[in-house]
Amino acid sequence: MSEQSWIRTLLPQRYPLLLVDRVVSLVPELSICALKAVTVNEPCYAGMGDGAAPADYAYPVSLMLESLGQTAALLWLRGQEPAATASVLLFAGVRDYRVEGGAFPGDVLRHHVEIERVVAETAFARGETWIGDRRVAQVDTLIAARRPRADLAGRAARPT
Amino acid sequence: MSAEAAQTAEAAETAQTDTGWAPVPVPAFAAPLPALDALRVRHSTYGIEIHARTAVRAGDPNLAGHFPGFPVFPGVFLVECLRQAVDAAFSRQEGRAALLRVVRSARFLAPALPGDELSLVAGATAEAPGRWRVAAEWRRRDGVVVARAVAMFDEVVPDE
Repeated sequence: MSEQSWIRTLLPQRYPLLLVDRVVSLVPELSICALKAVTVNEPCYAGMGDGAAPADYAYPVSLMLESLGQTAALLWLRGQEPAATASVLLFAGVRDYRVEGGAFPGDVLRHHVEIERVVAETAFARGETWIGDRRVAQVDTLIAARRPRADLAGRAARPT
Repeated sequence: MSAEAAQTAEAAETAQTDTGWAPVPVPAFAAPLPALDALRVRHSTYGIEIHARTAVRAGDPNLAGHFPGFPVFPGVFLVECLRQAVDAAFSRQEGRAALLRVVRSARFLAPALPGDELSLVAGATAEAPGRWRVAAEWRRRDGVVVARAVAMFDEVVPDE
């Protein structure tokens, strides 16, 4: 159940924004541990010039947070119907996400997430991200929501 | 307050700099997208006011995976917009930069879809030397608030 094929039955995100590589362990409705490897071949490094400073190679905080959020989503959605086409998974909010260190190409992010509560179609979780024995981020609350796709599609996108 | 003091206060209030709207260079650091189309920075005695514009483009390769057949601008990209806007605002002064350290809170309130144009308004106030508290709000052109956030940034002077 740790394989990509299983991850893809639950998460709607795809390349280049499917940011969980492997699930290491999962206790249903309680906790999950998942991995995301950072490589220099990811699109976020595509535009970088050779003169960039070492610090410029830090993996974007926005993507670290997204990867942690997708790990939480896997825990929440496990056991539920596969990525339903009628609903869409949304990141609803975050409280106190603290960055404590940087991630760089070659690092493997190890996310630990625990579900705190689920209210109707909204889930609350807390979590931490580690690289080896170094914690690089922690979050007090992640909030994810599942909404009917029709609610969003009702807003016709305007031409660019 | 004496007339003279009132005059001085008024002078201080108007003693601000305004960059006007200007294009933003593509970030030198790793980023999932060049998130800003234009930036305007005003410095006043109260802090720094940052305005930015960004368009959600149907051709953004990120949206192919978020989600296939149903593009929605990822919530974490609003955090990315803020990070790039604050960094750009700081780096316009003597090559400084700003690092995102804490997302105190972020609420993603309404979806942003291809064709939407988002405006970001952020107010930065120094909470301690080198540490800035930034309150931000994103709106769509129709006035709907897409997200609100409070984040902490560290001001850094690059090695070179």
